[in-house]
Amino acid sequence: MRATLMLVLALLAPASVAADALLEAIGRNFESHAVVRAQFEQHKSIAALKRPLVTTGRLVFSREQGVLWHIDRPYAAVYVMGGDSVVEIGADGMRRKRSIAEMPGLSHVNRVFQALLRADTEILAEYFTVTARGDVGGGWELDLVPRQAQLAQALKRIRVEGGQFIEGIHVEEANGDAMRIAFRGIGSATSLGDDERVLLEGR
Amino acid sequence: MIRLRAWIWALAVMVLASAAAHQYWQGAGVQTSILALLPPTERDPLAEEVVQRLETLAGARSVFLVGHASAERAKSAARRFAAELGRHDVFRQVQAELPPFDLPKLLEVYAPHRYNLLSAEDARQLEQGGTAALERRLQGRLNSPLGHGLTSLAEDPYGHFDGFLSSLPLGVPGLAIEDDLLTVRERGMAYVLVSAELAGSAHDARVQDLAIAAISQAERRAGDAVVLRTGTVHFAAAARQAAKSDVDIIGLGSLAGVSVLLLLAFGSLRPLLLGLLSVGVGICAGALAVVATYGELHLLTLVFGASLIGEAIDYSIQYFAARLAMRHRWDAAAGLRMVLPALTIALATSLLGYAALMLTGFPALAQIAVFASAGLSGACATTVLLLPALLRKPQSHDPVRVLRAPDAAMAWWQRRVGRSAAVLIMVGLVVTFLPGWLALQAQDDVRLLVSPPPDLLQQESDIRRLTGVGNSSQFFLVQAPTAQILLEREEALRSRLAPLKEGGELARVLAVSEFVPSAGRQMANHALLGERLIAAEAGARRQLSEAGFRDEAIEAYLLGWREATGRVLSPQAWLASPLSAPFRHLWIGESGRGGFASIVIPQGFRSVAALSEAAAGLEGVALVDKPASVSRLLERYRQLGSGALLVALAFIYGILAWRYGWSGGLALVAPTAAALVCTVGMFGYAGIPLTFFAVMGLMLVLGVGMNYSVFLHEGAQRGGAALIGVVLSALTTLLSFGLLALSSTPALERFGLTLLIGIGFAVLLAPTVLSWRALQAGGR
Repeated sequence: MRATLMLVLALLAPASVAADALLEAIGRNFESHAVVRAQFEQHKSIAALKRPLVTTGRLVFSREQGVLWHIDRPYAAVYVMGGDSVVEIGADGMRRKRSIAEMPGLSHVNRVFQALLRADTEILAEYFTVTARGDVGGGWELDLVPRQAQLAQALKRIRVEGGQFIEGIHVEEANGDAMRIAFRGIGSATSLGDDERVLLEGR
Repeated sequence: MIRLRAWIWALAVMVLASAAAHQYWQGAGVQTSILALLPPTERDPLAEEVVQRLETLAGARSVFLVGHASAERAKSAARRFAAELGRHDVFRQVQAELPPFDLPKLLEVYAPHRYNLLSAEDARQLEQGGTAALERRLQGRLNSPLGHGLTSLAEDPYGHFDGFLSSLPLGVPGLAIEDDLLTVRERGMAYVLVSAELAGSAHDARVQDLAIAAISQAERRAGDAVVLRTGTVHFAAAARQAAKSDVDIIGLGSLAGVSVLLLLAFGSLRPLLLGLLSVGVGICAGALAVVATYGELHLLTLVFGASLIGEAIDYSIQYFAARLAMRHRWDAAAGLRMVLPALTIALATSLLGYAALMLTGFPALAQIAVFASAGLSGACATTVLLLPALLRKPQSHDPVRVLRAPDAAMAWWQRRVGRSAAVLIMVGLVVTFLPGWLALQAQDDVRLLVSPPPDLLQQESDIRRLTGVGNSSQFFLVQAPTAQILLEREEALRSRLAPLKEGGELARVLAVSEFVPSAGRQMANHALLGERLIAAEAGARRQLSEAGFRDEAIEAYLLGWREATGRVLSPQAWLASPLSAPFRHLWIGESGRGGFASIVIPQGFRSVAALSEAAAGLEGVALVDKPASVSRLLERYRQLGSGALLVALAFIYGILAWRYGWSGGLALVAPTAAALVCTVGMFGYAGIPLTFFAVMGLMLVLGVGMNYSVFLHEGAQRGGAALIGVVLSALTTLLSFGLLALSSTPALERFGLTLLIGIGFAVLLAPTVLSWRALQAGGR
């Protein structure tokens, strides 16, 4: 009996150590890139819609200053996501600002979304039970299940996958709607371009 | 006879003392509230009632900001701080973490009315923008990576309902919600808001002690984090602490000073003990009278009461001075007969002076007047009824030595200072101080009433800067014949305030109509959505279809609008929901005179004048500005008081003229009148503005100063002993009121300073009555 228990423990221990080490390695890996640029393709399956909704565009991620989410199709728009607000800039240059940080119920959305993009497991762990598989070299996968009943009312689970960088996000909502974002052409840089900086700082 | 009276009074004193002891052990309430000091300030009794209610409501609330350079440390410190506070029963409720955001409850109240609800921004956009703007809105909502807010796409494809829900003032502007904590950052520091509600009144001494102890324990649990605090309980506790040390300083200082003076003048212990006995009886009588009349003692009364020692001792001093004058011929009954007229006049003028305070209508001054009147009567009665029985033997020391100098001084004055010299002295002084009087300025600021520790004020202003959360002593009172018209008037007011908000001069406005638009506004919203979106030519059907919505989802959305026609959200429905709990105080409801009333609270504003200007001319809307009302009140009473001073002066002159003749009356009034001019002149030169409390002090200077003239004139035949009596009286009074000038309460400080200067001049000028030979010959 005791031997069996020891065996189970011995088998379990390295696995969980490996998971922690993996989370840490993923975090370290992201820390080393100041700026990441990528193309994205977003698929939404919504019950009220007849067909999946496809959105494509580019993403600029700055470790220090936030995220620029350029939508190219089906219409042009930029979402500038800073720490406490999201500004939507339309093709006509019209800005709509939403200070979601002050809004109960919405204040977490921006924070979680940015944490997803940088696979910030520390922040994600506040909201989700995180399970990790794989390794940084050959590809990894994070499985996120909401901790709080309140969040679980809206969200079933999230899956994040990647290698050197993040490659995909899958969101399953509680009502059956789903969203999948795939990233391609990923590259890192040491600093922002001038126009990018203007957008991020000007929010 | 003397014996019988003494026994009866001794019995009365014993009853008095045991009643006072009973009150003391029972712990009679000490009132610290500033509002309790003032008569009603608002013309509208409803406004007055609302001010009181808000003060009670806000008074129970304490706000803390827990700050640290590291946001994480600040958050954990705030959680520990709140947990420790919550362990103490003195706090009914402590909140650091926001309660879970209850979306289902929000939707339960609002979702049935969603076609009637629009945020101001969305309503404007619908009115101005065309189809293209709506199209962009729809696309944005569909394609945003951040999802679709609080509402579902099928129910709210364009996000108008989401826009309304997001515009509800549920959070605090400027404060971000992080980890369910309200946080704000400034200059490298992160602060977390913690609020706590007292289980009792912030003016209850026991509650204050428990709360302060709990807070300092919680502060220790917060470790190296900074804790900023504000709330009535902190100010009230500080005021009580300051008053307590005032009472100690004034009480002990007066007692010590009076003891030394009596010992020096009379050279034995017996007069000292008897003098203190009469004062003790007076203080007990004063305190009991106030508790019996008001049920509690105000802090100001307590401090003032301590300074009464110097005045209450005067009666026994007069009696001891008579004993000094009669030397070995001393006979208790004869001595009493000798001082009785002077004591009666002195008590009567003092009572008259305090009665004038009572007539001002200021509860605080009325309480002081009750205290002083009962206290002085008690001390005087003890002197008259008890002292003769206890002081039968003549002065044992040789009084000649004590009297030699005063005798000589009086003789010198009468011989050398003639009538013209006396007039010259007074005219000279008046002319010297006249320019000061002309330069005198007035001050009616509400800050006269309180002087909180600068440290607490700094913390309060830091918290206001960081959070916009501040006092609610300035607000709009809105009234209307019906609830719906009331909401419409609120909306009219809010639209007037909107430009201030956009210009950053106003952080936010709390009003019921933000949560429940008026029926008129709701129907207009419904019509606007119908015209711009739902109507066949408006194109929602086409847009939604092109965007890929299923037909049944489109039909359901369009049908929902038709079904919502006239389905208006009522204020009653909102008030019945737990959602409204934090805001229910805004709704007064039926105001008891056939109408409805509510309040609208502006927060984080720069200028009251701008608020008042914005609301000008709106029907049923009044800006209630408590600090301004208090200042206006103080100004009005200062002017009334100045007028009353002149009337009193004329009145006193009339009485004296009736007894001493026209010129004799003038001779007796002149020193005090000159003292009043010199006092205000001194204030003018020193740049000390005249306040209502200084005017009240002048009123007492008039009463007390007249005593000295009368004592000196009446006692002139007794020679040096009369001078000793007057000088001793003046010294003890100066001592007590001089100590009052050190009070930490500005009102009392100014009151004490006025008495110190005024009585100083009055006693210095009193000997001029000796120069009136006509008076000396003509009187009695």
